[in-house]
Amino acid sequence: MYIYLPIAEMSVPAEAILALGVFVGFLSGVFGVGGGFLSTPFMIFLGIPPAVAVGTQASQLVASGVSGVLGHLKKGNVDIKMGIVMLGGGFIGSIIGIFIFKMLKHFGQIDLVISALYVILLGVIGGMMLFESILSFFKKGGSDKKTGDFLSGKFASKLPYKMKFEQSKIYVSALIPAFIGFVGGLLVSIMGIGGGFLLVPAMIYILGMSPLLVAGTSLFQIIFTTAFSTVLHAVANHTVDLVLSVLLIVGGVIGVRVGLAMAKYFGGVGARIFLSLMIVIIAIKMAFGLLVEPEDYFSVVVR
Amino acid sequence: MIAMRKLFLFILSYFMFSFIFLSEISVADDEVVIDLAQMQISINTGFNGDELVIYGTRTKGDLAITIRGPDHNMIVRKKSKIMGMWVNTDSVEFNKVPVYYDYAIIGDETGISSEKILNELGIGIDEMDFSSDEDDILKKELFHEALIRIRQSEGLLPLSSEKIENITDDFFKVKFILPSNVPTGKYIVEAFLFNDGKLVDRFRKDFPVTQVGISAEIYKMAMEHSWLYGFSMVLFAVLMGWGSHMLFRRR
Repeated sequence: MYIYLPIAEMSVPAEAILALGVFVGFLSGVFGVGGGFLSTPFMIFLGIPPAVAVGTQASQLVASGVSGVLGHLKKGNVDIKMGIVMLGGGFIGSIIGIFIFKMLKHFGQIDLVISALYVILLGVIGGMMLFESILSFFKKGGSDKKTGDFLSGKFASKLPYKMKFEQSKIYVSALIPAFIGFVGGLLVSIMGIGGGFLLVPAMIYILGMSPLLVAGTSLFQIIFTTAFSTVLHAVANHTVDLVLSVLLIVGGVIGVRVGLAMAKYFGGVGARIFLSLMIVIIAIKMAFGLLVEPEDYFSVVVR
Repeated sequence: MIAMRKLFLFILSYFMFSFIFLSEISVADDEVVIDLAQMQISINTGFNGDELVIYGTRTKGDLAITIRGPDHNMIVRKKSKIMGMWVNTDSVEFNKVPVYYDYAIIGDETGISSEKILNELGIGIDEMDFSSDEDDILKKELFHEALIRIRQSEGLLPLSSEKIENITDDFFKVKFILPSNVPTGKYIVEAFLFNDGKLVDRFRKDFPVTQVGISAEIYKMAMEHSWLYGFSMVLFAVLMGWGSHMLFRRR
């Protein structure tokens, strides 16, 4: 059944968008990732303008973020103080990201930058995840990383505005979590992804937070940056499509339910290998788009 | 049927008008009159393209009908390889390109009139010539060609002329297809009557392509109350997220 998207001004097969929502929801149910890295490229592939895909994806991430964080809050797995400091950077990052987005759109390079960012970020992080999960698959027990090395380093200890984060049991300059939040905010606005897959390792390896706290805290932060980015995209670019968002969110709610129920069958290293493989495949697919000679050198944009 | 009745009444009143006021002028003037089967093209949630049917009458001569959407500037970009990557490197902006255009012709396309007149009236796809600030003529031509080819592949420009169906000698019908991605705005249908290559009569009829119902409400709110729209989107997402959390908890 085709359904007309009032903001994208085109019709799409509703089943495809719903199915995408279900699949992305499933992933977040099983792995706790937002899945923006999957749905934004897929929507662009369906012919939805990149600007609308990115703007609308942000609103979907709000829904999955809220759903996830409520569970973490109950178990006390959210460091709210840390989340708020990260948010400070996140807001600034989102605003700057929206302007960069607008500027790149004007110069006709937005598709290039989105693809290139996807290739680099997904490629590197997916590759690292894949490498690590394969390693821990063979070395039972996994490698114990020396976390928090960066904090005791010279650079980090010189930074001002030191703060104590009781729940995470760390004492660190507020600039570091704020900067991590800033990068997350940039990614939300430019790429339409929550940035969880980047924030999580950064919080574990740079801040030295415990993985348990990291999942809840990064989600807490992501809710606000994606909500902020949704409003900014709606106001600055008029690119948030309600119909598209409803389809994605409804599909996502169903998918999360299935994913959570199935999580126990998918746990462990095998699942992590699967997830990282998927990330790497998307990165490779995007890389092909950049590197392979296009069928048509020309493209048209209506002003 | 309504359209035909309306058309009939229109023609009737036209003749009465001309009879009363213009009785000294010959009635057998060259003329063409058209009307649309629909007052507008409505885009609602289920919209997946539509067709526009046009009826009309004419006296003897060659007939051309055009339909064009609102004009927008369009930027054509060209990719080339930089450091192994395909990047947009060159662009030409064309002014006032119709976002949708189609046409129909009775008779010989090339023989109907001179190229200059057809170009002025905007009849035909080969005669289209959009203005641009680009000085390099060869480059402009290359990008112009690409613009037409891409808009054709999107169904927003025709590959060739549509057919006009002659129901009787002077009564005709023509059908244009508007694809699902047809842009909204004011559209213009125009009929041109030629005799021996000279334009002898023209008749214009406007109609809107517009979103209706829920689609229209959403679009209007997104454009006119974007702050409220953005906040409602967030609120909706939060509620859905909260709802889905409550659902799991019950289990």
